[in-house]
Amino acid sequence: MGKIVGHSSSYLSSQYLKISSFAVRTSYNLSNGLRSHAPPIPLSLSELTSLERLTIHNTILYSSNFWVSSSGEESIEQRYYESALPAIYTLLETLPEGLAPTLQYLILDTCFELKSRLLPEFDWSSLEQAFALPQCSSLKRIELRVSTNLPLHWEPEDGVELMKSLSSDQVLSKLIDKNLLLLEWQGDKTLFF
Amino acid sequence: MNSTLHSSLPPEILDHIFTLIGADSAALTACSQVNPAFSKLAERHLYAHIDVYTRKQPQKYSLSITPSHLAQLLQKSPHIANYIRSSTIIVSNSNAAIQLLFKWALRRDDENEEILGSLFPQLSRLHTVKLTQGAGGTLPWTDLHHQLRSAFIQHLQSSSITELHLYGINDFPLLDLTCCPSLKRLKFAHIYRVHYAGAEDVNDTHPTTLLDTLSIYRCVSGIPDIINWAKSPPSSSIISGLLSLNFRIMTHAHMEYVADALKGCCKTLKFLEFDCGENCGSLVLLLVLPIS
Repeated sequence: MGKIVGHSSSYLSSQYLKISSFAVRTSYNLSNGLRSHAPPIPLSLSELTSLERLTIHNTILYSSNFWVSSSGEESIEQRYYESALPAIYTLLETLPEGLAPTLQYLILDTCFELKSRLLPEFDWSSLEQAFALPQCSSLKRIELRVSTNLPLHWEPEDGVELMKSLSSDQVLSKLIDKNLLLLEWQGDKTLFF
Repeated sequence: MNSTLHSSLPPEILDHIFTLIGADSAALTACSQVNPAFSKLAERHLYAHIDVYTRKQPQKYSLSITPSHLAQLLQKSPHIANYIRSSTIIVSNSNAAIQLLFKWALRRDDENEEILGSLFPQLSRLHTVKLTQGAGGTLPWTDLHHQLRSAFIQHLQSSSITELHLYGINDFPLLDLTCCPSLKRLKFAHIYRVHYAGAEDVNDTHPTTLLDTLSIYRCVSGIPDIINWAKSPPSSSIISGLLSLNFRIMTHAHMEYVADALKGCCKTLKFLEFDCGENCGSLVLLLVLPIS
């Protein structure tokens, strides 16, 4: 990239680098249990002493690949997903300490980009842990607003299956029962172009 | 509907019904034609929001009108000007490539823009204005008719406009937004760049803008200038009392400007909304790049 910019520096009037949107997403490899840690969101909330409502738009990407050798003797299944939830949790940790906490509502506008119907168990522990943060002791509720970005050949109804899966998740259902989590279906946002 | 129904219902109830009909301009138009009393009540809702197209467009969901038609309407019924509270102004795109492809269809109408400029002084109750280009791409502010530009700015600075949205309008002069005391909510969306040459000393006798809400959606190169402007003047910045900040970034490098903006309103900010850079490098970028 540096070479490209160097060669074109004399006439380049504007430049945009496409940095992957999953720069702040943690990647979970479900096949081997490995987890890659993403860098934090380059933002600090430490000076926001009046913040009551925080809305974060984020994406959870889930994909699975199944490979079979030509002889049929070997097969490899790869399942992984990426989520910004750990980075969001780290961001919440930057809320002011030592002052009266003010944050009351955390809204996670979460788009699921699904490439497989075989849904995994997503790790929602960050949400549960957020309520335990001293900076978030004023937190009344998390709103998880769910939308989907599905492959074109999928039916929008596949989003309903996702909602069923989320509602029955162990961590999420516990938070829902305690009235700490509101799960909302926002619809499918697949772009056709 | 007949006069019996009207006489049996108090005006407040009818007014509430028309409020519920809301944006259904066809239903409100029909109501306004029942009798003069209905017309008087329904018109307030019918003209509460208008879409003004600088070229002719088919009617969609709200009342859509061209400046010349609006001028005729206000000449015939001047009282309607007081009903207009909100307006979306759709100006034609002058993107070079798009104009080359659709020269006739997208030709801008200077005459209509000039007429629109002359109508602003009549719209004394207007509180929300959305200025947007018509068909994809971006439109340089300087391409608009000079009378529309000067009337628009003058109206912003002297009127009761509290909310301004700019969609796809490039090179908007930010310094002209510095002295708009009524302006509380400001949104920039799909803007490639703005015009800002640095902070100027503001005359003490001139009230400055103090925003409640600032939204920045997918503004490519504009973010640094918008944030720098919003943090000026240093003594009492435009965002020093900000309650709500909402942004969608186009490159991760813009995060540092957002962090900078947070410092400028950290004591007052109550609502913060942003994305994690999910759209960085997305296809939307292609739609807002200028073609020259």
